[in-house]
Amino acid sequence: MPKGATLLFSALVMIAASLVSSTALAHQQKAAETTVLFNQRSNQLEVMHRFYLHDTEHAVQSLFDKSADILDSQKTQQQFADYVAKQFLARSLADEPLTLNSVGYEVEGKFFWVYQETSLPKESQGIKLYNGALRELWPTQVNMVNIEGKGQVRTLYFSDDKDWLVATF
Amino acid sequence: MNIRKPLALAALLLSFTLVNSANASAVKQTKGDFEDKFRQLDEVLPTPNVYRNASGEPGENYWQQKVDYKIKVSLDEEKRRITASEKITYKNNSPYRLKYLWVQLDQNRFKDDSIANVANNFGGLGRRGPVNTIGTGDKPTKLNLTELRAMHFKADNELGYEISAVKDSKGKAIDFTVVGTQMRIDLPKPLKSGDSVKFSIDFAFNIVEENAVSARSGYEKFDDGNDIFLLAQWFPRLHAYTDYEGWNNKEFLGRGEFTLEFGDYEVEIDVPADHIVSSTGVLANPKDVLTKTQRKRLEQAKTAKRPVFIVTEEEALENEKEGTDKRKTWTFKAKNVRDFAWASSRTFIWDAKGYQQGGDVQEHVMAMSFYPVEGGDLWKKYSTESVIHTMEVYSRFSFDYPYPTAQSVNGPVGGMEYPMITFNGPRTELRDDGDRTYSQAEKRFLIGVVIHEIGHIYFPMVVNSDERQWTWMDEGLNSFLDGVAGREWDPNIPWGVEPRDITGYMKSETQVPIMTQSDSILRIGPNAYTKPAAALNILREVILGRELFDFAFKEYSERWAFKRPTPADFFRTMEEASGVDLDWFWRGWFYSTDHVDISIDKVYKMRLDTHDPDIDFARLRDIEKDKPTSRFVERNKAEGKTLWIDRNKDVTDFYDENDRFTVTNKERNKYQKFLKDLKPWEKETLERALKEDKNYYVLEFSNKGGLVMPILLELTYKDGSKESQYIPAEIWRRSPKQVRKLIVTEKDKELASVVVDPGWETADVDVENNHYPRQIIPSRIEAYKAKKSKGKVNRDIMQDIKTKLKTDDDKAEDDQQEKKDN
Repeated sequence: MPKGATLLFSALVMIAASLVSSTALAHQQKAAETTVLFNQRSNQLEVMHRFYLHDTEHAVQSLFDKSADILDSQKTQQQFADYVAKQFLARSLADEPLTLNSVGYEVEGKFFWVYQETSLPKESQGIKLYNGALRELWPTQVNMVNIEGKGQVRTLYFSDDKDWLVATF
Repeated sequence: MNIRKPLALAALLLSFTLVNSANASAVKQTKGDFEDKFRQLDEVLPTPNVYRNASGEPGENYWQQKVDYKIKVSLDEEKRRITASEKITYKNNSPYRLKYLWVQLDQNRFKDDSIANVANNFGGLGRRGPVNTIGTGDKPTKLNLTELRAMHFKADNELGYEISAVKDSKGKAIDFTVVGTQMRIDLPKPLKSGDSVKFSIDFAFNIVEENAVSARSGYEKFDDGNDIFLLAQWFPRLHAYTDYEGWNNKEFLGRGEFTLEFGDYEVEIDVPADHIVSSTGVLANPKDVLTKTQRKRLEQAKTAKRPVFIVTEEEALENEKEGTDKRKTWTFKAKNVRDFAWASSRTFIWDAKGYQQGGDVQEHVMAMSFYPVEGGDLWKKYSTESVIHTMEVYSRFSFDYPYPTAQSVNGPVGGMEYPMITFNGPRTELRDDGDRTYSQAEKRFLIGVVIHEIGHIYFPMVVNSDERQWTWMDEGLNSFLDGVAGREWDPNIPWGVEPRDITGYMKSETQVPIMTQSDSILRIGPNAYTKPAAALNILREVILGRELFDFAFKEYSERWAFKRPTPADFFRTMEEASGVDLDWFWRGWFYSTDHVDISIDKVYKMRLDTHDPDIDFARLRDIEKDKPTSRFVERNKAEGKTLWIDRNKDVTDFYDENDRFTVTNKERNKYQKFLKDLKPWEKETLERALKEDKNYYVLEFSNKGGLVMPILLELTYKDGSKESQYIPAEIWRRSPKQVRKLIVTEKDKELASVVVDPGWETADVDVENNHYPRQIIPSRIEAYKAKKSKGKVNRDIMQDIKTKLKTDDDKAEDDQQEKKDN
């Protein structure tokens, strides 16, 4: 069945956050990078999210409240880490959820990092991932995920219409 | 007939094969898998000619067109509409005859039938503006409200140019044909080389609401009914006609910005009388539009230490309330600029401060900022100062700022540049207590964006590279320089691009080479800004060194100021001015998607054989002795097994006394002959080497990422000392996948370990294989966990800092107390 035949339109309610698209300068990059590392040494599946501080600065004020402060408030930082945890999901190829545990977060230079982990999955032919962080807030948000520790780096690119994506090794 | 058929087929096949190879590279390696990473860019770069030469300089017959504009424009605030008439003088400096001229109509991008609108890939990758979500079977397709808002806006407003007349200098109509965002004007008679033609265009358009339609200009509505108008890409502008591309006919799709011709402008801007106008150029009629006080303040600002308010916050707030039916016309003149933009609003606060640049080019520059009350202290303190700081740093790297004004205007555009004027987005927030505050990030944003956009006045507004084609040429160079300027503002703010920031992108699968046309780039941020900036940073700090890089970069800037460089001109200039072959660097970083991953795989030690059997055989015996004994034999011994030879000591022979390393005269004679046969220099060399008895280490490296780079080595010796070595990238020239390096050290300098790129200066994506012997490099998470436990973050320093320092007496008291407690 052609997809077009069953399409429904439903408006996605956008929060009227700074939707000014950056033009000549992408100071607000609206781009995050995540590394999913199959760490054979620690036997953990490690997930490391790197956000531009400036993106998160704006995001938290829309996601939480106007006084949210990603640079100086531990509460905001924790809130944001929790938010990311809800937006980043992993499953095995057989669709069994891999529950990621929160490890922590930190500010380093111009980046805000969020860490998660779980035990290495038994099956290792591939992994299914979903990364929705900031994408409903900003339609132009792009999240790149590099999957490492399983031979050549694989990249999943979450933007636009991308829902769950699969990387096989 | 029958005979001819197979021939035809053969011919067809032949031509197919030929076409196929022509599509690939002209030069091909068809034996083995050798890849010449140092192959000169010969056939990749355009052939040098009289317009641009082989050194990357403008050639002996370099030419560019000149286009002068006289524009009268009127802003209808209520209808949010522009009506204008422009008189254009086009000077044909090319050696060619032109029958027609092409004009850019950027506003036509917003028309319903524009290619940008019609070829809009719904939910596609990397498009400008709002993004939608495609449904999949059981999931509905989502169309976000921003997209709907843009659709509604386009439906409710007639957008794009209304061209009412194109006339020659006598007022006679000229034929014109609109092709999307372009217009062809058919000249009444061909324009000969060296001649000029005058014509006029009458036009109007409805201004877009910037927040509704993603654009680089437009209006912003405020709740009190006031607007900020930012007008850019607002008048029909002549397309570039160049020696390298002819007419630059590439439809404006929204992302690839533009390139234009230089010329002189005189623009009369008719706006409501209570508006303040900021514009490219210099105000030619201050007495008509400014009050006496304002003019006096401007005079004071010229030599002020801190920005002087030409319009204060109170005055701006008062101005906003009134409104007027009266009109004023602001006239601006600008010389030798490649574009013209302006902003108008009654909400503007205006501050100014003179920058005494000195020199012959432009001794004094007026730096100015225009912003509504929303700009707050952030703008008052930092905007104009950032403008001046940018000029101080950029001029050092390129040329003196060449224009009389440099402006920063706040409005709905996040950041965009035009000659002498930039639009910058950051603002303060009004809090419940009436304060206007801003976050640290917003402060960084303001300073950073002003530096970046003012920086663009140098690249590409003066060094006129073509952003429609090669975004990196201005964005990459400018991102590199804004990092330099930022670090000179306050290095505690994390500015600029560190090589390590780009490794995630460079090892990823979603990327295209930097040398990709703007509209086709998959990830514009890392591709056109970050990666080229990181590359230039590495070129400066690692490969050329600051002295050579800065000399070459300045040479490029000076050569191409007010001219039109292409990538080849940049590559060639950097190479010839530094005197360093960089073809491998451009090939790897700009023409490929390779990444840097150099691994140190093995280190082994060698010792020179003396050839003297009495020495060498004894050494071999020692080596044998040092090997662990057989576990089998040891266990036999432990079990008390006795040996046959021990039980039968009466049976012995020669070999019980002499092992296989025993030297005989046969070997000694051979050694003597060897010495005798040596030529004098061979003997001398051997003797010296034997006397010195140095350590010889062979280091084996492999190139896993494909990109060849210098190898930065840190050698640690057993005595604890360290040494750095730099192996130029050329080591990979005949063996791009694996190389060996011999390192010779003094006898007592024994190597303990080796690290490649210890300072993370080369964007090496895998640090783990940079160590020999291998080390356990903690992952980010492992490092974080370790750090957290000793991060000292849990100390309440605010409380602990009140603690009194104890004296000896206190200590005695404490001890007493302790005893009691026990």
